[in-house]
Amino acid sequence: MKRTITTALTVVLCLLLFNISAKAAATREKGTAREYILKLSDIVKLDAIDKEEQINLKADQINLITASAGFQFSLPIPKRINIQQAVLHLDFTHSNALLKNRSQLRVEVNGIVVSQIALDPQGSHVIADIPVPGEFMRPGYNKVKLKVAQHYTEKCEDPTASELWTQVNTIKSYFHFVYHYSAANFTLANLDDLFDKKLFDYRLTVMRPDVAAQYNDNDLLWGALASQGVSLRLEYKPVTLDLGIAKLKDAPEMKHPELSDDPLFGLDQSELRHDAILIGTVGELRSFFHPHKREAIANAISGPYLALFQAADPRFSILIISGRNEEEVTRAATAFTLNRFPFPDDRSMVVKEIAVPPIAANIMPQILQPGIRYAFKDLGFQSVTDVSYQRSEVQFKVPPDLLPREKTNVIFKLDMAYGAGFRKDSVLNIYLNGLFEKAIALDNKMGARFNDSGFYMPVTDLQPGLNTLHFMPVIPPLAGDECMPPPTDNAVVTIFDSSSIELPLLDHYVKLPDFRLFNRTGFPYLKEAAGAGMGILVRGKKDGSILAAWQILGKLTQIAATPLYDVQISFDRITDRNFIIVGDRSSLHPEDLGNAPVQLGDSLRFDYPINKGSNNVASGLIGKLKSLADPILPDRVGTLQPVYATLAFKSSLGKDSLLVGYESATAPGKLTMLLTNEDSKQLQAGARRLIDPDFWNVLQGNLAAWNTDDYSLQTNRTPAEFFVGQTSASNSLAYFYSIHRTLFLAAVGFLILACAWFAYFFTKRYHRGNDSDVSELES
Amino acid sequence: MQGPLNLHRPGKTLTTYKDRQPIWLFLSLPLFALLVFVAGIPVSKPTQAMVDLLLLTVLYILARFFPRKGLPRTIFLFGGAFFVLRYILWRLFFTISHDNLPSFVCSALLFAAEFYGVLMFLLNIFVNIRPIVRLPAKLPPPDECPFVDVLVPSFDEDEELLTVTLLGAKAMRYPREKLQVFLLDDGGTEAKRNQADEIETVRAEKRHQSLQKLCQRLGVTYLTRPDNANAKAGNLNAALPKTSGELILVLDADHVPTIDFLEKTVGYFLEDKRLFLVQTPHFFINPDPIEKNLGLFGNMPSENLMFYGAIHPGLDLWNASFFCGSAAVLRRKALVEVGGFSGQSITEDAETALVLHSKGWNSLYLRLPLISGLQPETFTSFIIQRMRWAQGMVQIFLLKNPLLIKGLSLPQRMCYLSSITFWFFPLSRIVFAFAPLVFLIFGLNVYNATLSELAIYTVPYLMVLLIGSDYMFGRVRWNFISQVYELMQSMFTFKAVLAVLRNPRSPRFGVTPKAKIQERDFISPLAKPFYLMIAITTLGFFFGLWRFAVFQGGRSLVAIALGWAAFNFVLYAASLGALLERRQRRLNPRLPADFKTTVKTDAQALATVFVKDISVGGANLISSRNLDGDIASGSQLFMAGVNHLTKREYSLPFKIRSRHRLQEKYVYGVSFEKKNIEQFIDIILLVHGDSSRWLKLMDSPHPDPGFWRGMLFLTRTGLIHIFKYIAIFLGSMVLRLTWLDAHRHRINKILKSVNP
Repeated sequence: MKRTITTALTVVLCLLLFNISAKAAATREKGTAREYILKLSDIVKLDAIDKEEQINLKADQINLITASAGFQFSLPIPKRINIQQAVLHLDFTHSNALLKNRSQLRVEVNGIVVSQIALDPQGSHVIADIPVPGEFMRPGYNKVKLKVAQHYTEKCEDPTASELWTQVNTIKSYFHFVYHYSAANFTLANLDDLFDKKLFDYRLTVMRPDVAAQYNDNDLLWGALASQGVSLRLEYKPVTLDLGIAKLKDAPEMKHPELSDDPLFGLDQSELRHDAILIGTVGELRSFFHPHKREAIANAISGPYLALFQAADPRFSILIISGRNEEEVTRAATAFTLNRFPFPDDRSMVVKEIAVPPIAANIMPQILQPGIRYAFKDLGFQSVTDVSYQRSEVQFKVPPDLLPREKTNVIFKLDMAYGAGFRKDSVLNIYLNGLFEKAIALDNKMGARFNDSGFYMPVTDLQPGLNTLHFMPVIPPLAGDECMPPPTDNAVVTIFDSSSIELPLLDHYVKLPDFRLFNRTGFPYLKEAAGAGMGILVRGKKDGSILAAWQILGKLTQIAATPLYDVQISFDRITDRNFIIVGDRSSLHPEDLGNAPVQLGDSLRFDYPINKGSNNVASGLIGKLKSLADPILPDRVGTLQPVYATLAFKSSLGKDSLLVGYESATAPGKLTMLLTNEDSKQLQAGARRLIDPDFWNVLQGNLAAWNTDDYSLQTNRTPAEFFVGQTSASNSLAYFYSIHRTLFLAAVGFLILACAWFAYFFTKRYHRGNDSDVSELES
Repeated sequence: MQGPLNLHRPGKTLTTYKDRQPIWLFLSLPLFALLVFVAGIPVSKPTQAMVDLLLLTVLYILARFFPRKGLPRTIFLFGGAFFVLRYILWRLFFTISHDNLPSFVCSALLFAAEFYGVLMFLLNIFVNIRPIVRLPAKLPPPDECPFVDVLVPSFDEDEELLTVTLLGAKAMRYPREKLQVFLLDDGGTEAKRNQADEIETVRAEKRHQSLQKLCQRLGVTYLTRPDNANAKAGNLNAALPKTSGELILVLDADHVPTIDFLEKTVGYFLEDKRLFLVQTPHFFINPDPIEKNLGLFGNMPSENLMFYGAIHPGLDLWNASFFCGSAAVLRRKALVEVGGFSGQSITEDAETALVLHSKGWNSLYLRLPLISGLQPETFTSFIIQRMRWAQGMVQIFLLKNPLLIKGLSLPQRMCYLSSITFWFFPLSRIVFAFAPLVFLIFGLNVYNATLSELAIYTVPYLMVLLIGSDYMFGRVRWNFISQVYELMQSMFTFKAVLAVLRNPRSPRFGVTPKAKIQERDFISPLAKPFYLMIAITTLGFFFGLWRFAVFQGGRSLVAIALGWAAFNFVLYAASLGALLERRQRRLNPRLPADFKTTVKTDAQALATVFVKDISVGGANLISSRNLDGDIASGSQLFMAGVNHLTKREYSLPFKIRSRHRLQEKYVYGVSFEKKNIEQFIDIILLVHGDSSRWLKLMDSPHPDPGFWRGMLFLTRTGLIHIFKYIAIFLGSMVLRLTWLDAHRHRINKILKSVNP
């Protein structure tokens, strides 16, 4: 019975969530107006807290506790759109012990109160649609604040009483926007506004002239660079790519060019519903230029060329990447990937020279190198004074392939100061990646200022890639008169940006494949700077496969936060690199699957985990000894292990896309990942879906299957692992012997026996050599 | 145990230690380095647990079912070494606390103390990898025997004590014309006889005169010198120009040689021309104060047996046996070559041996007790002796470090390092005493490990230490008693060692007081530090209980620290027992005997009786019938028979002092009446002359009762003595109050007079 209710509730919850998600995923278009649903859970940030606020934020809720509490977050509004209508749909529950006439929730946008809602104990669950006038919002990040006043009595009250709470459901709360794109009138200096990470949803068409019968490696490379340039500007936001064929307009439409200023007058833009990038040599593109300006534009392309033109639909832009020959087009596309500083405020430019500096491996922004001390200011942290419960954070990246030794520590040296007159139990809490790690007592009544105050965290607590360290002082108010709130202005803590962090010297040695490592850090593909050690092999010259490759590459570029201009992308072969094979099932070559733990040939074969647990149940002393002798991995100790069944069958993959990782058959020690689908169009959709955060961030194991539906991602780990990197003999032996216990015991036994025999033999000889009339004394 | 007394090795020339730097030791270094490397490889906990389980089982089987020598021995020792190395490397890399500075400092100190323990364990393994035992060397014909001088240095010993030693020396079997005995009196030097203190001057003069007469009477040469420079070493060196024997036997004033001392040792010198030393064990006939006060004498191996019974045979393998100050024969030529006995440190004996080894001279050790001596009677004199040893060895470490001095072989360096660094134990002991307390009282994290890590690293390590210690020394020392000995010494030698570290040349030679009578029981004046430690440990215990109750997260570690503190507490309490000094009314300790003798009068033999025990002063005789009726009043009684050592008849006059009945037997306590020197010598030979008797006593089995029974014994002893101390304290309070009450009137009167 209980189970039935649980199942029913789960189904209802799923339907509700699906409903909201479906809203969020889809951008509907009514004429030129579009609609978009933006969930609060997607936009709230931990760092946007006003100093008097006391919050407890979890993934799906904002808790507002105490008599006066609030939570602020940033609402991104892109420059390119005009908001016609914005409604905040708020779903929250509050305490039913509140006084209606004194308790309220108010919503502020950029400091202007847009709504206030009485917190009526009779109706503690509130769903409210709050219109937000468009004029209150400006392009960029808008401060939205939810603030509550909560009281349970008219008399003097305890402001921290436990009945003073309101909880906002961030999954069910969302902004509903109706908007339209304004006319695009950008120059190259405005590329960040064109490819704006604040855009709710972004789609782009990469266009190649219909001149070649089949795509070649240059087409692949140019699209890959273009995809990188856009992805880098969108930072973390995924882009949906289309591949378009640039065609000339039909003849009737080519009449009366004098009536148009469109520089791309010859280009058929009838299907264009969003921005586009047109790539090709001047020869390939010449026919698309306005007949009256053709020569001028063609002459302007005197080298690697970038130009930004307004499309026929003035809301959109077309970026031209061109040159006099293929090499110049490549250079122009490479120039486009450089995004750290604006290009000239002009519609076009010719790149005369690109000098790309040599970059060492493992130097993604903010990545720490072991053994070097980094000041927080080098990691983008600025000195900050926090009040009680206010958080400040510093982010840093850890090399993805570090081999954490047991009990090695990260060393933090904190420069800080705190006020006087605190309660003795005041502390500075320190969280790593949201988990409490350490508390520093703020127990000097006179206040204190100290430098280089060391504290340590085990390296094993760090995650590969990005880590966030939070500082949150907890300074309880001094006990005072109930009606006279104690002073809190003294309750401040400053963390100085001269504080530092240092990773211990560790080896680079890691087990692959590991999709979790891949989704967090792009390892091993991003280990070498600019993608030098990475390749993408596209099987079958099909649009879907090509786009899927560009989508994945764009995502990896965002993780690297730097252009991957050394990446090798080819239809043919990749040698001696970690590479990703992208292609529909029918295009795959037999050698592509090499060491793959699955078979995708005529029939499919997969390992299916059928159970978790050990089939070797230890009973009694003998059983225990037997289990000790089993060669098992150290990280499997104490956990339930899957037991696999292998199933081969004749079938298609259906709509499912498949990502599988394994050691390369042709280049041992290199990782190969295979992204495939039964159909290339579905492969493109699958790749696009994969890079959405809700899928990408939960990738793990070495095998993933999904379709474009929500919650369809399934991951698995099959026993096909290998190690890469360099480590000391001791550490690699530690790994080896932890796996092969009996060998360790054998090695120890052999060494002891060898040493003992050696010592016995020679001491016997030694003492007989000195005097044969002595005998050994038995102790 | 081996050591057949009547066997002698065939006379032959000893192979000299040509292989001074054993090449194989260098060749095997890579193999040993590999063992260390593998010991340092961290593996998963289950793997470590498996290694623990299997290796401990193997070690146990080796210890229990295999002979403790040969290949099984080396396998056991290397297995133990692997465990110990693994533990200390794990401690170094994973358990030093970085929580805060005080924790780090305490954690590092504890690690250093443990590292020292591991170093000692490994050095002990090296030293004891193959202990050896030798057959006594055969004495050549009399005309080939070298001249031997017996030097008996003395400072303030009693005349009677000296008489016994000198007569014992005179009675040794050796060609008379080639044996000369010298008394080297440092108590009657010119400086002593002309010092400012008149009483001391008179005493020194009196001693000078008296000993001169004694020597004249005994046929011994009396020597003294102008001053007392360089203490014992100076005294011996002053005698060297005045003597000429090729060999020198050094005997402490209380070390009475057996009749066969020279017979069994001199032959070695003829076989090896580069031999400078034959050292023999120091065998003691009285208990040390800890044995005496805990009532363990005769029931457990003597404390020094570990050194003379196990370690020295180990040193002998490596040609590293060293001079222990007495009971040793030395070659004059070697001593002259290095300018006599070295006096840079206050342990001139070890220092001299070190210098001679570095000059290429050889030494050997004969594991046969050929002297009987006395141990200090009180804890204070015991500590004086140990402080001298500790300070002297630390001096050698600083002034003549065996790792740096030229000419030693690698094994000799290791052996000397082992012997010398042993004396740093007070430093680690004190750290172990305080380590659990800083955790319990201050909450400092001195040992950064989880319970499971303790289970797979620390517990097996401790087990290996226990098993290993039992394996190497179980028959010569009881482990838990050893803990008491080390702890008690540490409280005092700690400061002494630190003083030497600060100023290596500061220590002065202190003579160990011996053969002193104590008329009553008393608490040693050195008990105060133990009171303090008991108080602090008790405080720590309460803190620990508080932590256990309040901090639920770390209960397991608190429990372990409490257990550790409890162990220390038991040691302190047992130490109190050893500090309650028992009275000693007999100057000459009675020793068990097992021979028959005849009781007779001038006229007739009365009965054959069994000698139960005997000393120079008297004996206990057991008769199967009552002799009282046969003894006429005033008649002189004699103990008569043939001494099996000399094959000579003896007749010793005695008087009956006590008598009692023991079941069907009659026990007579008698005292000897020494009429002449020959009779005195007969008594001495009966008491001290037989080395087989000493060997039997030395090697009598006293197997270690094991950890739990040992702990039970210590706990019981500790508890009894804590109650005793409380009773003594309360008793003294009552006495004091009673005295105050009795003198209340007088006290009031005095107070009034002071403040009218």
